[in-house]
Amino acid sequence: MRVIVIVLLLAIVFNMGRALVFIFRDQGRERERGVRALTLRVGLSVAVVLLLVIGNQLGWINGKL
Amino acid sequence: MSNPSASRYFIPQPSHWPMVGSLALLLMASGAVLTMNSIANGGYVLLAGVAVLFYMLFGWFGRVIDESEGGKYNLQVDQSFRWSMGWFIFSEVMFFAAFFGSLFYIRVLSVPELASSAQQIYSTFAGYVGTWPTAGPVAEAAKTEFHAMHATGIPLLNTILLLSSGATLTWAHWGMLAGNRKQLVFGLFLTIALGLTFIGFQAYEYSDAYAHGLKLTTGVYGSTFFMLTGFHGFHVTLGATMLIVIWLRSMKGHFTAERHFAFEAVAWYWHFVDVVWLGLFVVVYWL
Repeated sequence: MRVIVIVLLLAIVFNMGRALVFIFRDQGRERERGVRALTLRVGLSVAVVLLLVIGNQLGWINGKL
Repeated sequence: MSNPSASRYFIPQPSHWPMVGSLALLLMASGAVLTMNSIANGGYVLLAGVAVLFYMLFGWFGRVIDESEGGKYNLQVDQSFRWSMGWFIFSEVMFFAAFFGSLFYIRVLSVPELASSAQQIYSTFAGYVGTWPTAGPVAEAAKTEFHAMHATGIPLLNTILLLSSGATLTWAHWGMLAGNRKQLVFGLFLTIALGLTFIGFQAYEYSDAYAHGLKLTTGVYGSTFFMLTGFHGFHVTLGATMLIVIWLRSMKGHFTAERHFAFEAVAWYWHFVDVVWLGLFVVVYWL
């Protein structure tokens, strides 16, 4: 459980980094890459919170991760 | 390059705003020193400094916005804004890395080390086992009672609020790219409302923590808890302020689907603050 959360958090940080690079580089009309990476990071964050809430409800976590 | 003026180096008009900013800093520093030494009217000097600072922020940023909307900025200026944002983000990442790092150091190294040496060396604290959350050996020897924070309840609610604000902001972002002004303005409005609600709940959680004996002075747990979440809350306040400026500008018709770096920079900053919270939520409340 702890490993899954860590992997998801790392994936979120990785996508934030990608978004930063895209926002830094892309100009004009061709700038969808940044918002796509940010959308992905929102999805991954939802997954982390869902995992914590469901894991807590089902007793996978026992109060502490 | 599509912009013919892209190769020209933009040189702005001479500006008095850096001088006004220096005056603000001088007044604030002098006011703070006078206040700390309990010298009369020090507080007024400090307040005057803050007022001058806000005057500078409105004036300087307003001028930059006017120049940008007046079409004076070419791609070279756009690039310089990107670099300044990059360094700002770098400093912010380092700032939070230091606080997360200190929590890691305390929990993995300092507290276990204190607990083991308490058994062997300091007989006064012989009973100290260092179970987290701990207020430290001195407080525990004095039987200090405090209420540890739980992840469910307000922290979970705040996580959902901030995460939703990330989603509404992304929705606004897609609206910006599609040239849909209504979606942009409404998405920003929802993001700001969610962010301000987060700050309200955070303030309530702090008052609740203080009522139950968890204070900034409650040993190492209290100080790390309030330093991490407090500085995060300060960043949410700053991010919400920046979002309000972008929201007002969006309503005035600023930005286009092609040129909106200010929006992108603020949006990324808000996502960053959101991700820091997610990290805090896991590390401070769940671990």
